[in-house]
Amino acid sequence: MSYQALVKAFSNREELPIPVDAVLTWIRDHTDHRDLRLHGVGRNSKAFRGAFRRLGIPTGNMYSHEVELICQILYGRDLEPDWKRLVVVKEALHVFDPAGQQVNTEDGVRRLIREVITPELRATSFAPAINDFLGPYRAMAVLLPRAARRKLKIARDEGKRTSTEIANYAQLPDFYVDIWLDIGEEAEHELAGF
Amino acid sequence: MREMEQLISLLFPTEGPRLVDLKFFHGENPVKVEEFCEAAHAAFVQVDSGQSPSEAGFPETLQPVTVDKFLANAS
Repeated sequence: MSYQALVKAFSNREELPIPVDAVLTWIRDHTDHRDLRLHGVGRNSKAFRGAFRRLGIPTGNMYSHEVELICQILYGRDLEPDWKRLVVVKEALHVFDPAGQQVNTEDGVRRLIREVITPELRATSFAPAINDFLGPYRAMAVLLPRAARRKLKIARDEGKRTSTEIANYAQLPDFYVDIWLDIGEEAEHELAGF
Repeated sequence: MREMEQLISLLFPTEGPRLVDLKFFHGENPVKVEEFCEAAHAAFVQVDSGQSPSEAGFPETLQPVTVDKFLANAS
């Protein structure tokens, strides 16, 4: 099943925070990506918060080109819990990336890195980089789903709750919660198509 | 650029697993390409060496509450 199906499956949830394992379980149960491996890594610098590496391991059958897919999800061990949650889900959702948005050549890696570290180039036409930039918002559509988001946006707009309080409640970074409450309605339609 | 070539060598070994896809979540600080590559290389070395063991799940101690209850507590 697709990313759209995942967003739809979580869209009516009104109980927060959404456990990260609930998202990982859905992916394992509804897609071919059962081998998701999480790795907390030490960071010497704050160059990146997380990474996703999908590997094809040859099955050893010399007469076929079959491979087993392994998806590695890296996150900074030193990140705050709310950031870890967003990073892990953002990276896990890359299992849905179509072939045209995958990076699997040396040139692709060089270009992706250049664009990840230069936000001023976000008008890029490099599809994998665009995918990466949108990744946190794709994760927000699952972790702060539609039904909950709509009620929380009204509460924030009416001054009953601040975005910081909502972020603490949902266990998500304040920065992304504030933006998602504003753009979620339109962005969800763009990202998930419903 | 030595750091980039070191990372490329790690990601594209001559034998064994084939890279199907790679993505990153940008960091907190602006960095140069060399610094990024060095950090990425260090992270994947931790994974490949087993220094960062693989985990299937993300255990959390959460106490989920409905939005209505959360908002009711606000007033």
